[in-house]
Amino acid sequence: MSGLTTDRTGLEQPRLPGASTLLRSLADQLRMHASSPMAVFSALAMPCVFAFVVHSSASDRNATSDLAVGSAGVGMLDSIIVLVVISLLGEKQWKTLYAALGSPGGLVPVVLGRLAGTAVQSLTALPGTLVILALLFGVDGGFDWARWLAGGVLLAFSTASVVGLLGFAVLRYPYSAGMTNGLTGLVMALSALIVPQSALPGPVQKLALVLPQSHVMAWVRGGGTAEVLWAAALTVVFSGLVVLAVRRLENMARRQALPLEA
Amino acid sequence: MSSAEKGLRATGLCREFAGRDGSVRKAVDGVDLVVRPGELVSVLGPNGAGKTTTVRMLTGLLLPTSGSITVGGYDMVRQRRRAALACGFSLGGDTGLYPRLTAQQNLSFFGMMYGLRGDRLERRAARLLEEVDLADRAKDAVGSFSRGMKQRLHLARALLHDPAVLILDEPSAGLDPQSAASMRALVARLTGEGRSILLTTHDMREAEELSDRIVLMMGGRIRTESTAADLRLAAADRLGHVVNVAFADGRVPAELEHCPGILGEERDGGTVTLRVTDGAASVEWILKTFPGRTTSVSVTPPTLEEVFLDLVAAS
Repeated sequence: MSGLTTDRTGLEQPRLPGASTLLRSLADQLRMHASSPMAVFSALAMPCVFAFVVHSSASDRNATSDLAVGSAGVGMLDSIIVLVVISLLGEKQWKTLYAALGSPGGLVPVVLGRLAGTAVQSLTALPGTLVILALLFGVDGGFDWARWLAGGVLLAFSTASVVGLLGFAVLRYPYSAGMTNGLTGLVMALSALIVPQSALPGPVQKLALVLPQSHVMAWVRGGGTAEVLWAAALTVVFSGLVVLAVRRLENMARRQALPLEA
Repeated sequence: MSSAEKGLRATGLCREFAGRDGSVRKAVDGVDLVVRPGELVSVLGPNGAGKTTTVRMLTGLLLPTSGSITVGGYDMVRQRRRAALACGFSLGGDTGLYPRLTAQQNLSFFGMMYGLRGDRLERRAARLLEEVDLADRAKDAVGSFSRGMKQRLHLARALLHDPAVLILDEPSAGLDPQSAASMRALVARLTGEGRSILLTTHDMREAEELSDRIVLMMGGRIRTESTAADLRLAAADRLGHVVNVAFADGRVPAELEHCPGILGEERDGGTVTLRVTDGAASVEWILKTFPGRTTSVSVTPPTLEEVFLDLVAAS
């Protein structure tokens, strides 16, 4: 039998990981959790109930693009929260994060990949809710397909960036998964997914501007390009905060022996 | 760079943990370790001796309170990324792998963490799966694997980036005798390839069979360090030798109780096991006292397990 040493000839020093680990982490997130019935349920059931309530008190007869995106946004938010908790609690339970902690790239590419995976997975809410809304109410003649699609995709990633901070809490604090009960409602209310931002109470309106989802929804409701830029910038800012939080987690694990296991 | 620097070196390694009441507990206290290329060093110690904390520091999972660690010539604290590339580790056990992914997918993901990708990664993963006898289960979910298979996959994972230094935490724990023997053979072969291997184990036979040197830790410190043979010989002064004698006529003579330096005896038919202070003197006395009546006489120093238990009890 040959040795376990690599055929070193012609092999370069392994490159430092980063983007490839992140993409692989994203793909594996989908491999492991894409068929989760809970995630599909979160992505479709709750938003459609919300859409039904909103539609019943609205004057529009058919489903508009902002109702479709907002409903999908509720589903995305719910499914991303559920998936982040399932995914990261799974990592803790399986004690797989120690391998990442000891690797050259550390935890960041793995955790960001998982978050991006939850965003991609939550996209099922976009066509899923539209189909149900179309069946229930029909599609409005002025339905803006471009804003529905672009807004929906942006909404998924901006939501994942905000919920990423919950990911830090799940990894850092035991039993923090319980926080999710209130988080869905809180972020949903603040991000003007269902009602326009102008309908929110004064102080809440200002707070809503901090969340990228509010700007996505403002754009879907007919806002200018500036709203998209704000949404993208805030998504980057929240992603940066998640990176800093995960780096802090790494430091705590190495300095204070913070357990990365359940 | 000296050969020790290319391998694994820890100098003055200390790790303190703060208690909730403000107290400070030293889990590891001034550990010095060197594992040269091609050498396998086993760390033994009772639970709570500081083995796991030491391993976690050596692998970069935990920062030392003081002291230094170099892996493959790189400082584990200041050059962590480079040191991590030179170090492979396996914490073993049932966890540490993704149960919903296949063995191949697990290796691909962990390989990417070390900068491997593409064909090179696929080839390396396939070859390692073959080497650890899991090629036929490459596409099966790891959740369906036995503990032995998971231990072998852990080893394959640790070897993915072909590290110069390998740190294995109880690689054969919980394995059946056949799997444990297979794991020992694999580890022995890895040492032969010039890697520096540090092994923690509770299995004395494994330590004795595989190790060039054995380090015994207690209370966060290294209590003693030597080859297994030297440890056993040195302990013979305290514990005595074991002399096994078989008598041709199947009867153990009563006069045997006058054997000089006898500490104890255990009879079984025509054979007797004596524990004596001086093995050579006792054998000489037996051969002289019972000429032509013995079929075999052997003398051995205490076993590594006896040495270990003695040192633990003494401390």
